[in-house]
Amino acid sequence: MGVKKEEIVFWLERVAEVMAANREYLTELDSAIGDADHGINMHRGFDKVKASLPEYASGDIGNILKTTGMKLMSSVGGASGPLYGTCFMRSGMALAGKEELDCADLLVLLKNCTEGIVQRGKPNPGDKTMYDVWLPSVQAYEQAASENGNNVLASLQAAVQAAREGMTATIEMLAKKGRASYLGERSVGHQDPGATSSYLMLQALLDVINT
Amino acid sequence: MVGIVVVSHSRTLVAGLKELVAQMVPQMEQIAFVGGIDDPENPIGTDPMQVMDAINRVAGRDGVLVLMDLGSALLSAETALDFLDTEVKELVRLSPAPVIEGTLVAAIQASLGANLEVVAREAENALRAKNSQLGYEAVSTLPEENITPRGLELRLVIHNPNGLHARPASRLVGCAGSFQADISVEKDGKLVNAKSINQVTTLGIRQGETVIFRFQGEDAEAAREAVRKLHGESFGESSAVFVAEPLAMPNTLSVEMEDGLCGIPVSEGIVIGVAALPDIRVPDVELVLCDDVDAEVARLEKAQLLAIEECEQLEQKAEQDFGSEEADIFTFHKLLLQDAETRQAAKKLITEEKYSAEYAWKTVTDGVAEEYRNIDDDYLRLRAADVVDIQRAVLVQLSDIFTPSFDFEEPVILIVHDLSPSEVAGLPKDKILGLCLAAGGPTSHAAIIAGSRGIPTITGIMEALSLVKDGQTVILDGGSGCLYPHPDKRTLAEYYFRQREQEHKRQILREQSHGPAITRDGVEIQIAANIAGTPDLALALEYDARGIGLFRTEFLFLDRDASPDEEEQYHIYRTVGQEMQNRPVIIRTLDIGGDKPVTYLHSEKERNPFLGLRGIRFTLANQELFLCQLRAILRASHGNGIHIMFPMVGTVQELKDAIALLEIAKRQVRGNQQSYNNDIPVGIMIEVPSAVAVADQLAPLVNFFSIGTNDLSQYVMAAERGNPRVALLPDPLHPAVLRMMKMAIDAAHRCNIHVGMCGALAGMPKAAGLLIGLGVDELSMNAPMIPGQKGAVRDIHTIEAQKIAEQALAMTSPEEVRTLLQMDEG
Repeated sequence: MGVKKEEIVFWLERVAEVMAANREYLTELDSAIGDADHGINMHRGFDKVKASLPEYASGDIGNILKTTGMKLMSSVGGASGPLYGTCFMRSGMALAGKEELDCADLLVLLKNCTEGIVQRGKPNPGDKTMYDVWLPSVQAYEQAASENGNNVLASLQAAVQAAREGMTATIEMLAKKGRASYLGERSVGHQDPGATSSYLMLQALLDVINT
Repeated sequence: MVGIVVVSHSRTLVAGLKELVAQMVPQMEQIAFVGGIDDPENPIGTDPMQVMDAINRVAGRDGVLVLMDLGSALLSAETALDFLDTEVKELVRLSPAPVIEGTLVAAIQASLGANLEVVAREAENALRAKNSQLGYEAVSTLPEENITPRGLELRLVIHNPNGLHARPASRLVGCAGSFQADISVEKDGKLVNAKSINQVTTLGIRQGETVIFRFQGEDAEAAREAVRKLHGESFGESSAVFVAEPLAMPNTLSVEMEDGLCGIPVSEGIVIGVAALPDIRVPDVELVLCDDVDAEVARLEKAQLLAIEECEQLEQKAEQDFGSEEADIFTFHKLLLQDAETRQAAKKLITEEKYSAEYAWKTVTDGVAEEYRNIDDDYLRLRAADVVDIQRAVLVQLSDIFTPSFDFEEPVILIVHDLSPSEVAGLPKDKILGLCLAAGGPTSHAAIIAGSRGIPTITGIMEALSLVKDGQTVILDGGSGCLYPHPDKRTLAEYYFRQREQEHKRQILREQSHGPAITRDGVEIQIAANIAGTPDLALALEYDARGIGLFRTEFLFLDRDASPDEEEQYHIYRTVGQEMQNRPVIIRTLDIGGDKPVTYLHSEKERNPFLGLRGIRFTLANQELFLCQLRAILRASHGNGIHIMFPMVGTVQELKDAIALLEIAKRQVRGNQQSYNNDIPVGIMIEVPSAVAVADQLAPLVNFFSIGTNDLSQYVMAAERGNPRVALLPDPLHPAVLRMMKMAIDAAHRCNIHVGMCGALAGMPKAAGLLIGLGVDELSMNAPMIPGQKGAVRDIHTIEAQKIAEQALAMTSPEEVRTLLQMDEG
């Protein structure tokens, strides 16, 4: 069983809803260690995506992801704009022409997202960033897929499980990137907002495929 | 030229930075500023696409340096690179320089023609001067250039008042950079490269200090001469005054520049151009003989009487507005007009020579003026201009052919004795750079109209008429009230510079005024414009007014012999409604009486016109006139946002009567098969205390209130602005007035109707917090105030505003309120 184009569209819409619902929560997380705009930015970005989806939802998956990346770039406003924008654009380019994603394609998506973050943000593991969600998540997916014979759902469940753990692990980390890094020790004890929005995004994908 | 792109999270930050850079670098085309994102609610952020556009905008073959503030600005810039064409991308460099210092340094180096390599390096080293100044030089990790003292020497003492600070230093660097030779400059044993702005400023060369230049290379000799010459020109600093005090107040300036005249500032803007003085071109008066000598004498006497009356009005007004010294001019004019000898001489010319009144008066006053001109005393010689004034004042009364025409071929700075409001309204704006109303006051209707048309205007400079010649180049500074009749090169250079700065500022204002005014917590305050006619629309639209909060229709009725008819009014209202598209346009019905008498309508003199038949009282008593205006407004209201507003309403009955007449007007329009908006919103001015007292009874009958702060404060305080002995009492910031406003606003909001404010207070940025705190939904002001007020609103949080209002309402004097609003700082 693969992930159909309609499900990708549905996923993006779902992310928009999730970001709207978590706007205050993300902003609250960001106000502890950043500039208190992550929720606002993510909500604005995906709201824009949702609003313009009808214009480009008829393209192939690669196209949809790429256009989503463009929309995020120019509407998010904060650092997550270029970061998530690059994620989606890279994935879109790697998945050009696809109408449906199989287990390997989904790995391509996750990998490109992770590499996009590396390319843009140059993070190291443990820097208290969204990378601390994506890296374990893609690793868990790859391992699960090789063990369960490329079962999309089971692999993605493993990935989201790892994402959740990665997100929680950021609480104890000392920020090394972004504005949180200015706080040094004071950043310890707070969950990273970027890691949180990344987790929410992956969870939303699982929810869509699961239903 | 190397392009520069500055990326910041904040639009305000880049706007400020842009101002700083503009001081240093005249050509800004190669510098692009990207600040904030396109989200009025949360404007802080960066957008890679905007960065990409900016790079493309300034990219040329010399490359682009990008400076960024922090965080996402870096990511956005890096992302932008990914989207650029390869050939552009190769020439773009992202700079780790501190954004403010780096941008300034980069802009200077780029404007001097340095290549990307140099611009980038200099930007990175931008903290040097600061480090050195603060004694952190040791921690600077910047590589020192290896310079050895050699070559031709030149020892110079620096005379510039502020030493070789940024501007003269950049001139030096520019000069040095144009030679092949290695050029070093040394102070106190410290040696730097004279081609580097950072290094030169690091030396911190002050006035009176000696520096040694050394030149090594083929063109060393020429370079030495060039630097020597530049030193002789004070490194291009035009005015020592300006350098010492970049924001020098105008009065200090006029002292230093000597040839400036100071009047009263009315409407901002610096203009430099050719003066036109149609007023003092002595009107040609033909020699005409008269038959009826007695009638001719009577004509002259009547004209003299009217001129004296006019003079008394000006005298009173000047006394109120600026005190007795200014009023003395008019007292003197009156004395001249009353001068028995002059009058007798003119009368004699009529009776004995049968001269026409015009010719007799002209002949006599020409003689008087000539006598003054020949007096060996500067002060008295200047009084010749006053004689010319009274000569004109009487001639104008005798015949309207002496009213000047303002049809110029080229744009001019118009210098005239005074103009009527309609004359100012009719000035061709593209031909009038600036306006000097030599005898006018800042609050005359003419001045108000000039201000609302955005014409740089000054008043109260009688000397201008005698000291300026037609066709001469002059400088008029509407912000400081100064006029320079004979500007020297230094003054001209100085003002060209200021003018450019001001244009730049205005550009920023235009940008600032774009879009709605939304408080920090997301409440939109409608910022609207007050207008007196169609000429004001241009500026209202330029500053993106969200509507017209007050269209003072009485100006259509002033300065003419009969009321405008329905067609004429309809066309004007229609134009305003159409031009403003669907934005609200509040047309106030005729508000005459009080200080705005219209002689052909208001013939009976009242003992106390402010408490007499004015506003709605007058129009209810003159129903035909009222119905005519209502029909014109109704017809114009079809398909646009026109509202109707009644002035001076004090009782429920008055309002009901006015509404009843509006219904009659609607029937008449319907009867004529003409279309109109049957649901035209109706509102009232809140300016009479009784209206405040019964605001809860008035509110259900209308769609909106608009508070007129000027009249409301007079009536609440029972004191007239025009009476100098009580002029300080009617202060809109008096807590008594503020409480009345609050009552009216609360009553309106209980009925869910909109409350605007259209008095002078509404345009004051420092009052914005208070007014929003009181609860107004709309502020309407003269268009030039809009950008500042939008900016003020965007800085406000309504919770803070409410606190300010609460505090103000609890105070006991307007002085305390001013202190609270920090208005006493000027």
